[in-house]
Amino acid sequence: MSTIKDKHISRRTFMKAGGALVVMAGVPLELVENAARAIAAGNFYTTPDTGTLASWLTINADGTVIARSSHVELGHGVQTGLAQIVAEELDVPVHSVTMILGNTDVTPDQGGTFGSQSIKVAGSQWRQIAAEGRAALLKLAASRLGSPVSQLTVKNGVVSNGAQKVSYGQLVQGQVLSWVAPITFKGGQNGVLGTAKPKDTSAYSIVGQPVPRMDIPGKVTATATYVTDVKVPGMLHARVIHPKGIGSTIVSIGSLSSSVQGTQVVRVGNLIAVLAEREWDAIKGAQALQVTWSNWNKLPTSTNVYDVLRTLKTTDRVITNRGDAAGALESAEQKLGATYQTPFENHGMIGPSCAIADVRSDGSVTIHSATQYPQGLQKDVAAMLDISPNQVRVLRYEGPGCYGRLSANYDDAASEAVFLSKSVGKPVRVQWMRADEHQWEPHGPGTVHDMKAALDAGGNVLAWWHEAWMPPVNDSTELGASLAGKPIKSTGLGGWTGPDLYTFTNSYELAHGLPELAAGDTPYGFGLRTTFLRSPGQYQITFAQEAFVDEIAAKAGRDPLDFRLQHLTDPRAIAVLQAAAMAAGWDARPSPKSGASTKSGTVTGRGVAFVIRDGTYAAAVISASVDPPTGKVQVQNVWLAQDSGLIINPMAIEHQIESAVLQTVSRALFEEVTFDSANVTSLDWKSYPILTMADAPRVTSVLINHPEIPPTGTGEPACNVLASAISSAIFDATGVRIRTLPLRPDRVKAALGA
Amino acid sequence: MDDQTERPAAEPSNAPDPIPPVDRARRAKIAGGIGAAAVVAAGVAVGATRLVRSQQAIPEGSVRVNGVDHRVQSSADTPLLYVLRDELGLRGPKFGCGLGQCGACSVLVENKETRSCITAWTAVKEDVTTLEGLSARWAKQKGLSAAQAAKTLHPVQQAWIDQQVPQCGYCQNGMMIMAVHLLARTPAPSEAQIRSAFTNTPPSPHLCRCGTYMSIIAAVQRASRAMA
Repeated sequence: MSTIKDKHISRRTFMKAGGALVVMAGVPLELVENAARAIAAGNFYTTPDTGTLASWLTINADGTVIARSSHVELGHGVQTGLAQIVAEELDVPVHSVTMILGNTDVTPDQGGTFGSQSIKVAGSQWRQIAAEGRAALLKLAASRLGSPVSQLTVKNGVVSNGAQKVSYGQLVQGQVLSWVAPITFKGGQNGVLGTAKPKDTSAYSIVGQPVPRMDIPGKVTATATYVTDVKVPGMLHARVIHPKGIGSTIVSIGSLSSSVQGTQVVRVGNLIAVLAEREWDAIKGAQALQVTWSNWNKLPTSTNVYDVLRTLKTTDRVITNRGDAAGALESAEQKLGATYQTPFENHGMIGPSCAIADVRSDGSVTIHSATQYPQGLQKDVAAMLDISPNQVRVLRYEGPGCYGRLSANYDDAASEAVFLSKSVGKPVRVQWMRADEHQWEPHGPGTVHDMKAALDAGGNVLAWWHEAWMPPVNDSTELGASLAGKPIKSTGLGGWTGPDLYTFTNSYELAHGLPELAAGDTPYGFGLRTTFLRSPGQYQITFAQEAFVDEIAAKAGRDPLDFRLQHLTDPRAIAVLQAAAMAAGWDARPSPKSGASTKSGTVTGRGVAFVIRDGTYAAAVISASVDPPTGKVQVQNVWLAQDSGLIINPMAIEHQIESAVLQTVSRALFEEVTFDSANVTSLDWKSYPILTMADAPRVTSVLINHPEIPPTGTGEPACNVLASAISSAIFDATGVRIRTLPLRPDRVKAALGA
Repeated sequence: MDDQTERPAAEPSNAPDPIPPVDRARRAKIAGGIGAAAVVAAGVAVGATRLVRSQQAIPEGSVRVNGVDHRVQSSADTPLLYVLRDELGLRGPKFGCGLGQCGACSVLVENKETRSCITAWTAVKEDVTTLEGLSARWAKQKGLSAAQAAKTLHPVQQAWIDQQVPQCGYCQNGMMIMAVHLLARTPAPSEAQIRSAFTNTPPSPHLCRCGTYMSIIAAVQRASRAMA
């Protein structure tokens, strides 16, 4: 048969598993055969280079398909979305596709699961790779059926030339075929080039459908495996006792000899933990152990931090400089100025960090983790132990929602477990307690924004000015490594996220990038750690921008929706705003509404906001009630319109929108990390309250589908349009603008002076 | 022309009202034996997820979980959560806070939603049902055959799948346990009653960080209809 001679498809007799086609990319030729045989048999194989040896797809003799990706399921539906893309290109039923995610032994490195990249980048790679797999199968089928590929059609994994049929399974029956797909990756993670032509989107029958999420049944029946469920033979439970102040070091350690049985104290540098066979013994031991830490008090406090941020040395970057904003401000008749402030925030994983490390005397290391980037953690652990990444295996499991907390700082608990396991020569499970997570998670940064605008007598915008002070959103330190004296990562600088939205003639935007608070004043290389938190940076930037746009519209006596539309030209931007407004039944009028009051009883108002996040357009209209005597704000309804290009799974997107809306209402109304000069002081859900069901708004989503535009992220955009819309709704209801988050009752009550 | 998929707005809610007092008659214990499914269904009020309580005492040093007695090795002050997870290998109840502040660890003790992270196992004298045991509990209540039971989920679990509730899923154990607790007392709860139950039932609100509350409300109402 001709396919045997094809240099890209090699054929070997297969003994056991019925046969398979293994689709690879970037695999050194000498490894192809062994790797294919191992993969087809469902075995692990070693990866000399974790970045390139990539086995993507296996088409099995029983017609099932296995696809492997370093991307991981965070509850956002990527497992199902990627399976839909693979099934679509291969023309197989979606439930014949099994996604294997986040296992460094077998999953090719498509980057981490963050930054709205899973569908946008990994999805586009899968589209091409599955198309290559389909092309390989069609070559086999052409040979089998004696017809040219151009005369073949595929439906549900069965190839037909009109007269005869052969299934994919039959094509690979009894042999192991390997196909090294002729693809290259553009810029590492930005896409893929190949020779096969992916299906035209007009022919889609699986992509675009509301396929139920594949991960849900296991989560509902307690059969899903979370990292917290993993038990390794001989494993010890560890509870780490973290420093008192962020820069504190150990002065002395008491004794546990008689107080708690079955425990041992392990110290590596300033990493100290109590280990025990029983989890409760480890907890009691950690509570009982007296550790004296050095005093450290170099932080500002959460009360004065906004003033302090302005005094720190910054690295400045001009984001936008169009026309002459300074000159226009100088000469304008009407000027506005305002300062917006956002607090430090928690990711607030509902389960604290947990990981298991098994560092063995033979040099091999296995990590059980809920990280957002298994290959990243693999490299970090190798660096911590001065070994090759190939000695480190990371197995990723379901975990509590992390929203970026495990993206740059891949897994703090794993970084601690590594040193503890190496020290005791046994597998060690580190489980943080609630206070550990609230205090030591890398937070979202607090920010300050100075806004200015100039208007002419007719209310037209002559100048727009936005300066932002922001600590980093990309701390990538691993806590255990730093405490153990082996820091491997840096903390970065703050910046700016998000595009210039409106066509203001004279516009100036300046980012004052700040280092991590007190980073230079601790022995660990980090300060008050701040890293990616769902729509990092853009959440804060957009809050200030969109609220201030509302202020300008109010000053000009304009309807805030009309005002935005007047300053937009992009049809997708206009469409999402109009869709949200239509769903909400928006009627044009300026804010505040007539009858706005801080004196009467409960008043209601509305707000609108718009954003472009990584190529996705989102707009929200919200309604909220304000009770001046108590300061209580309740978001009642959110109408959220979104255009993320091609829709892969509308049901999953609706849930992502609802998730983003509710989480952001929580951030805007309730959340603030408090800290004194030593450390974070909000250590539980009482001192760091989040949204409860009582206050959850109703969400109506409107999805705009653009099949001709490649898909972009759906988990983050909606996060950006809530905080300003709530602030604007309070203004609409009361005539008072509140510019500092969160909009907790005490702040609102004070601002309203009721 | 763009395709637009619109999602209908949820029903308007009324101001939160308190959960009605528990129906005393419904709470009254119904005598019965243990072990055999046959004893269970008779006498159970429609819509009330009331299990027949075992008359057989749980042996000293044991917990009865999902119908089975387990000897416990843990020290007397160990929270039930660690017994369930570490000794019994159950996965439903999750560690979320250890403080009774979030609800991820919830189990049913007899018929009451209970935070296993702050309840010493030695303080538990009644039957424990975890997420893993909900289906069998329902099958018993409905008197399903073994064959039927094997392919039947508890209506709350089925509703959670049908409404596609979980995102990360970590808190959903407690949410489903709370739903069973609520539906046993208020078989047809209003939206306001659901919001109140999940927020105001001591010792704390049930917290979800992924933002699934509205899907939970829809799922509880769906389960309510299925159980009616």
